[in-house]
Amino acid sequence: MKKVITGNQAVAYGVILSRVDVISAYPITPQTTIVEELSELVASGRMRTKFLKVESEHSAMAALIGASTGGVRCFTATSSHGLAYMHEMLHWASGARLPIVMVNVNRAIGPPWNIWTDQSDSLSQRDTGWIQLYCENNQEVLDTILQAFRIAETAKLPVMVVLDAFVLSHTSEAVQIPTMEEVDQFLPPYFLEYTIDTQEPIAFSVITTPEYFFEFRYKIQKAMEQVPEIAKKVDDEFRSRFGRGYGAIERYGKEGAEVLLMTSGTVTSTSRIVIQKLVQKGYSVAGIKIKRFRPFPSEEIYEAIKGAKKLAIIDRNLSAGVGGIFAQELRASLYSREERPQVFGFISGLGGRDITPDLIEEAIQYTLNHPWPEEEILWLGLKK
Amino acid sequence: MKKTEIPLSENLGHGHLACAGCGAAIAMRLTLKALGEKTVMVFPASCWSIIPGFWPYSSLRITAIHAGFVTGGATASGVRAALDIRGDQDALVAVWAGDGGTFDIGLQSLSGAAERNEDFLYICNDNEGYMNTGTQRSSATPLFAWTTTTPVTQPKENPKKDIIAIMADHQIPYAATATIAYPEDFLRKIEKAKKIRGTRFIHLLSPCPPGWRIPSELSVKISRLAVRSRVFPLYEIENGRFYTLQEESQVVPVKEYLKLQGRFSHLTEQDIGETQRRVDDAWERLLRRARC
Amino acid sequence: MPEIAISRGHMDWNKTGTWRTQRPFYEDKTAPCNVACPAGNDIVAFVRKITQGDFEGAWNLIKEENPFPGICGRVCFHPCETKCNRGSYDESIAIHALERYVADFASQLPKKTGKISPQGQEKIAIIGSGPAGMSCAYHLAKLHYNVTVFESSPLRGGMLRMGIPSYRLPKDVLDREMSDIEALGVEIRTGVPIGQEIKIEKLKDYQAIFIATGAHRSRILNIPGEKGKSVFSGLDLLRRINLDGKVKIGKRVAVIGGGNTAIDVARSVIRLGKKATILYRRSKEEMPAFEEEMVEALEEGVKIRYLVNPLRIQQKENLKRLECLRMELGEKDESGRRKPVPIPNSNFFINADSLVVAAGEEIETSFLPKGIGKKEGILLTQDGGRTAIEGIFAGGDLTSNQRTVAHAIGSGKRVAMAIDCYLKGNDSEEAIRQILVGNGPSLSIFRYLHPGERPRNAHVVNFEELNMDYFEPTRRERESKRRLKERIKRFTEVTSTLTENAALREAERCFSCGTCNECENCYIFCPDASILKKGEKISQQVDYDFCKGCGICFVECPRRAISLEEEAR
Repeated sequence: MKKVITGNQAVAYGVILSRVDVISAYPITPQTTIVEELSELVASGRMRTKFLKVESEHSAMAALIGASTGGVRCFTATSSHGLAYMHEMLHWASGARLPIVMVNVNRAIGPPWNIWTDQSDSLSQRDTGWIQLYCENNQEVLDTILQAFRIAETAKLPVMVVLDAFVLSHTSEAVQIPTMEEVDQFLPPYFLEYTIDTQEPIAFSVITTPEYFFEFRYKIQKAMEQVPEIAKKVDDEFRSRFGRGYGAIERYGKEGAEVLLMTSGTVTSTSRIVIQKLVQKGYSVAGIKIKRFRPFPSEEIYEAIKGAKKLAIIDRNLSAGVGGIFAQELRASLYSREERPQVFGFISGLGGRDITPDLIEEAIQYTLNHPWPEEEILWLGLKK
Repeated sequence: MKKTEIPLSENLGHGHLACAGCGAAIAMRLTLKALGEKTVMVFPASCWSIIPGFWPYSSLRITAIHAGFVTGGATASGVRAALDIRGDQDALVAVWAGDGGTFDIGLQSLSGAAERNEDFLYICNDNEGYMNTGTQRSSATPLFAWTTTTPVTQPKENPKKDIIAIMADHQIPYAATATIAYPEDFLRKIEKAKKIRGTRFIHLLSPCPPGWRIPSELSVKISRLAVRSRVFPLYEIENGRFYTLQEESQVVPVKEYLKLQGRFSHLTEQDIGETQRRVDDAWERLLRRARC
Repeated sequence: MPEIAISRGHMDWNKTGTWRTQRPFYEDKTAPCNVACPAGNDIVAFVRKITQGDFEGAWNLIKEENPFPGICGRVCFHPCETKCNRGSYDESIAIHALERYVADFASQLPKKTGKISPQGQEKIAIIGSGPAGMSCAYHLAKLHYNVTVFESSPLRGGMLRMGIPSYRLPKDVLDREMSDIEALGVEIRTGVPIGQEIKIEKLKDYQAIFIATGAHRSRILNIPGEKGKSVFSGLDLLRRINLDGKVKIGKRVAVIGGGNTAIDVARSVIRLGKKATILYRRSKEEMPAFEEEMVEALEEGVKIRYLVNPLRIQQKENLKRLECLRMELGEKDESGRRKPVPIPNSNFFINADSLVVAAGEEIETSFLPKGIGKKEGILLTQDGGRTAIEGIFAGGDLTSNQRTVAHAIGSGKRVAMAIDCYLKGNDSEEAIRQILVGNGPSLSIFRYLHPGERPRNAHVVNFEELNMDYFEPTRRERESKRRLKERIKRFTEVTSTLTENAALREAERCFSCGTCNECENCYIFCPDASILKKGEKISQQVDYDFCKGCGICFVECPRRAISLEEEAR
């Protein structure tokens, strides 16, 4: 059934349909309506779920780690400061190989306080061992959540599903909502190999000496390396069942274009229109939407950029001292390749600043008109 | 002394890494005998992250979940939720946290869980300092005590935080103090707590030979003196209101307790007098709270 | 290797025993009560049996060493109680009352001990059926010897019968314990005084002879008038009362002396309906009679006058007039007591109808063979009771100035072992040295017969070594006494036996110094589960693979049954 719902409501639907067992969350703008929606649903009895209304985000993740060890499907949502507060526990969740799914609504981290869209929060957690999936619209949000549980439970790694603050979280769009039966076909019940069983007591997360710790970390990297294949399988199956698929990236625009614009999140929607317009005007441009940030889709991107001479990438985030994080990861993924197009790293839209079609076009034009970027970081729309 | 009826199963096991004479090892051994095998115990960071042994070994014969330092209350809440979802009503969820993980860094998560009356048995193993990291002060360290961060030239300036009062004021169904020198009392309280649903909190005083600068053979004796000198009275609080105070028949001056411990060896007569005054004062306050 | 760091293995491989610098071990040590008992009772062990409700077991334990629990429980001066460590805490254990309880309990059990057949041809003669002689007979019979006891008087018992009144030691209790010994096969020939009908030299049929005739002659004061009418010797008087039941004596009786005999005489006199006054030449503190006896005597109306010395006895018609001198205390003499010194010109007179001299006993030596060796009122013996004459042994009051029932019983046991060594050609001095309990006087025949069993370190546990944290002050149980009005009318027993509950309560008070009584403190407090149990009981085994040597078991053992030694590396 199709409904006009906000991004946060789409999250709530995703959670119900996934038959989540334990939710533990702490409110923070702009995630609050997720928590509120879920509270209503749990209280109404429509979900056979336990909702722990913990007193902080750190505790939210800790509680889920406890619950997930107990062999049940877990979910939380947060944003910005809450995500940062959880940081220690994000490491713990991946280290413990727990398939927790978390929605992070991208919001700037202060000071100064700012509640609007910014990717710095999720990206600053890129080293914690979580799979990260970015969404462009509310349909994708719901679908990604359903896929996320499959991917997490197969890879045994936690998954972060990311959407933009307000632009998606509080904006209504038409979303096709699958039925519970359809989802049950797609998402089997959760099974954990090592779980709590008082008949066979085991100790979890035991202190490990240098003699063995290295190998446990090696296993995590190996698991991450399996993710592209796992994600593709899941996405393909999803596509065949529901008619919708997303891939790790999506290329659109002119075939064999010289200049490629890479974006993630809702900026992509605006970019599609700009590029379409430019292609019609005869420009050799195309766009790449990056859905999966972690593990970074190096192979998929390399395939998609064949023939391009210049890559423009818009980061709605900043790692101070280095620049845009997508740009950094892109450059690193290209380093060992034979063909290495120029990378133009643009930063825009921090703290919810609108990334307008004009700004996008400005970025593309700059890229078209310069053989190489004149600055390490190209600031789009900065006030003088 | 009456012979205590204690179960024979050794769920702590031997070969573990606790120091010789560790008060907490005595307590843990007794606790696990009383709790039995259908226990899932959460271990936020403390000495007990190390004591059971390194991977792939664990001397514990119960399910143990090692967790982040901050997270005793929260992790246990999650475990309980999972077990409830799975329909397992037999397994008991317990937390074994140190004074750091209870009084200080773990206080928030414990308070949150207690406010929600989460169903677990929380045991705070209080050795009055951050002993696992080498004896630094915590808010459970008593006034005037030496620690590595409160050296003899500037010993601890503030009195011990009254954690039981804080927990009782969360209106949890059961809170109690206990210590190793009174094993029957300790076991009775565990048995009682086992049968209650909701947040149950036991504040356990565990002497630490290296941290308190005492010889290993005196752990039990010193915990007895703590009770007899009224530094650590034994009592229970039910539903935040009903106090059961265990009167000690042989009360001794605080000096008897302090003089055996190296961490108090720098105390002057004035300090001892001050300590006695505060102990008497705290006892009076406890009596008043117990009556209303 | 699993995906995550989960542990299933235990830590049994980690032998934390290697951390130790000191090692605990179980070692029973000696309790002060055990050391002090001249009869050699294993007090700690029998009291423990009582706590377990095994009264018959307690009786059997006592009987290993001492055939007279019912007697000792009533008349012994209980040095054990003086040494009892509990006395340093609140009140010492009423050991005598517990011993008595066990004996009285056992008296109701069906008789089990039958005749013991002697092995071999050796025959032993014992002269005197008092506590020393009968104790020796008992142990020798158990050692499978053929024993004959010669008793000069018509009834068995010696001083037990003659000297101790029935209100202290009922005759049926005495007879019962005597008969128990006879039942083993010991022959007692009463009415056979050795030295008259049968000379000692004629006892050639016997491979060994034990002379245990005791000290029955009253010491004389050597004052004028002592040999007159109505002047009795205390021992004589008591003998007559004990044999005949009554005696003719005046209304006001003065008793000269300060020992138990004097008290016994005075209290007997009261029971005969007369008045009694004791005259003692030193002060109350020096009086050698037992404290309880003095208290009861005073309750019963006996008067005691201290620092009074009789000078002469005068007869005035039917009245006796005793001229006395007041005394005061001077310097200490060899016994450690302050010598009484006469106060000049303090003469005064006391009137009485009868006088009793109870100023000490002496041994009779006329019947003894020549060359037996004696000095200062006792026979000389070498360790174990050997006299100068081969094959002849002596013991009890004959050979010691410590004249108590318990010492006599111990002496008889010692001689039995000495005779056994003599007949087997073993060194009795060495044997007896081995079985001394602590520094003595206690001696254990169990250890003589079963060397190596029930091992105990000879170290005597003192009060400072015990851990008082596990005890609360509790009242000592008291045996009830008959009402005064009842007491003085007849010679029935004054005190009663404890009830079962009282006995159990009193036995519970025992600290069990030096002996593990399975209180399980060690097991409860071991941080490393290294105090092992066998089934439900403490096994007294330490798991040295894992024991870290913290020493908590050592400190928390209330009774010092665990020792700590340096770990040898």
